[in-house]
Amino acid sequence: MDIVLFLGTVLATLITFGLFSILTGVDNPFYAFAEHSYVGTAIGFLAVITVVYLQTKVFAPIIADPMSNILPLISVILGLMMLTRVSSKYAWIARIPITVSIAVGVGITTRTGVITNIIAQIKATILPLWGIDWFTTLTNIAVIIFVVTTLIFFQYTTRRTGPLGKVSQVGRLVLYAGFGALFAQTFMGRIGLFLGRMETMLFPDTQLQMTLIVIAVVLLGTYILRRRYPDLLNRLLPQ
Amino acid sequence: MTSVFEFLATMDRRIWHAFTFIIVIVLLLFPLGLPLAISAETQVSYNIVHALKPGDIVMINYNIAAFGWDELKGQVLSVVPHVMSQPGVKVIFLTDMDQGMIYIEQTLAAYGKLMEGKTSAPWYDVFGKKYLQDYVVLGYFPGATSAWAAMAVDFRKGAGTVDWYKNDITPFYNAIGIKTGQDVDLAISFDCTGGADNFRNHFFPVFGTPIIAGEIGVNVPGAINNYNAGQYKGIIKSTRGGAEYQYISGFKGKALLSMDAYSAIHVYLILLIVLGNIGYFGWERTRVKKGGTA
Amino acid sequence: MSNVLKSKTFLLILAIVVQFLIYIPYFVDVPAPMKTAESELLRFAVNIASFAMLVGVYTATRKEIIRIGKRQKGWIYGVWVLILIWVMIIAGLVLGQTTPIFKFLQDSMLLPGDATIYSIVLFYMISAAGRAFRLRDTGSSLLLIVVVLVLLQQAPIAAIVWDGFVPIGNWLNNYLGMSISRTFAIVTALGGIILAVRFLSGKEMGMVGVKKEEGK
Repeated sequence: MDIVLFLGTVLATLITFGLFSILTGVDNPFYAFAEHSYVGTAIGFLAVITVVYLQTKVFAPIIADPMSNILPLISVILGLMMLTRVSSKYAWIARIPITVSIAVGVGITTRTGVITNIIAQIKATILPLWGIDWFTTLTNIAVIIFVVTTLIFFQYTTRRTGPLGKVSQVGRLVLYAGFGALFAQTFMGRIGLFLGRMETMLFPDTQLQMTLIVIAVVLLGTYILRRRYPDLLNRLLPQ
Repeated sequence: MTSVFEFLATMDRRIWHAFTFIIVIVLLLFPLGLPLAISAETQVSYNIVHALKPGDIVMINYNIAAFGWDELKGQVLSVVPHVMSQPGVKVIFLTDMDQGMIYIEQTLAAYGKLMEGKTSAPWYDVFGKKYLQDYVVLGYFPGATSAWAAMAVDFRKGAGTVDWYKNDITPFYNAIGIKTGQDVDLAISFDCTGGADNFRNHFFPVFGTPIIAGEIGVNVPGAINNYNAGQYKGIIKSTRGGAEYQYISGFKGKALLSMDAYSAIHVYLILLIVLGNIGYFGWERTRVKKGGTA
Repeated sequence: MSNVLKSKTFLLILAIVVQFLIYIPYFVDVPAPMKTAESELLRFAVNIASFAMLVGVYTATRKEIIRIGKRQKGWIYGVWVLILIWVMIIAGLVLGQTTPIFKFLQDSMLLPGDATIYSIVLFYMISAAGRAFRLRDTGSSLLLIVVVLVLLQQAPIAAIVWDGFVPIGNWLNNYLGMSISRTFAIVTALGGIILAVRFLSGKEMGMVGVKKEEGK
């Protein structure tokens, strides 16, 4: 294994288990190092990708044929106006591209949101209640009850008293149960992330050895710093 | 007995964390090979891809960053080769996440061999599909929803006429005849943050484009909602969906092997909930009734 | 001139014009120039977002420089962050993204960090479930029962113990969980429409940086 690859593997393992070290409940310099390393590289990476996008998809066509790209040129001017945000004296100029950007975003979201998130969802809730097998009938009734009662729970414009209050309470219970399903599905997702991460840390054998060594170093290091050198630990922490 | 209940109710969470690591490490290193049932949604997604015809245009969006790659790689590394192995199908790769390009290149490198005379990405021959003839990589589009809306209206203007590597892709567009979102026959999105919504909002309502959404666990409830509403034609749910797709497509990988650890962690959580409730009924509840705090 | 451009009225008119240029071509057949305006505005938003990210990089750099200058606690980590940001930028833009130093930092720090940060949530979910899921009252009992049933459906091993877990869990996911998600989708979309109307009527200009006092 060449030295660069070896160093890369050591760093990747240290970053991984440095971040996991927060689970010990003790703030420690391994976690601080890993967190700051991640933040620094993430910001740098995002900047590079953004500039490459601008170079490839925006500036290059404008430079190649300015007369056919007047409108994209306007978008560049708006983007440059965005940069004035960093100046306290001229930050007001950035409001213009921000307004355009927000107006476009709000426009796109609402023009499609009505169709996809309201009409389509309501249509999908209007379900047949007869002429089908009993199980589907019961399921359809249940879905309609779930959706209607939870929608009523979320309405705040009138007081929820009397029958509306009772329906709202049913909606609250439906939400409890529904959150149980959502929690379990979210849990499924997080397990997948963790398993994938651990697969990377356990295979091949050389990586497994590295992992065990780094875990030992991080745990022992945190323990020794906390027990024997609390002042040093405090000085090494960012906050 | 009280002290046992108290211990169960107030167990140090670091013990739970330690056992989580131990269970996962042991079962990843020594899998048991338990059977796996295939869900209906994964089978439907497989059937859609398998039914692609020569000349069909498929858009594949990598709404993927490192935080979701470990969960989605099982499905990515089985769905993408499945699509690429369908004869005559033309594929357009793109991403709305800054890290997406890393994973597009990784996928192509995993299954492709470099074309003659070429030394690096994206010039791979993947199951006979050659770059710029059968597939292109458009690259990263910040402000995703606007970019997708632009592509739906006028694909070439929205996506640009150069790929991520600055190659002119107008001949590719002319060869496949793409003009608007109407010409896209299938949209697949591997999602960390709801990338399939871009297709759902801008392609599906206008053109009825079939969408397959490969989702991380957090997004699955919303995806099921859209699937039931008919907006998605198929969904692949998280790591388990990836393992199922690997199994039925034949492009096997680590997601399949990790299913034992996956099962064990689920059972472990149930056990913790049961133990916690035993402690609650045996100690915490009586303590609260006697006037203590919960 | 700058007073006009700064004013809430100008920004409101701009927002209204842009939003209608986005709405109208979507629902109605319009002349070609309006369709062009729509597609160009969509690209404008993408490009403005890119420049906004660069502002973010400047802000992050400035924050760390201030931390280092004031020798605040942990300033040495600020030095490390700055080094990483600018080495990545210089390596990526000057030398290229395939250069060894860029790929080294990407593969050894960025990707492992990103993958690990989100997987830590699993542990917090485990400790939350172990501590909070109690059969205390009707609501929490329902929550707990549904969690257990769906977990059993998700675990491949449960189907071996009893194959009834799978259809029960599927039903809870596909109908109960789906119904809640549907409610959230409808409620969120309604909220979005209300926000759009408030934005069009000038009541949400705080989003573009106009303070309430300025708007009077």
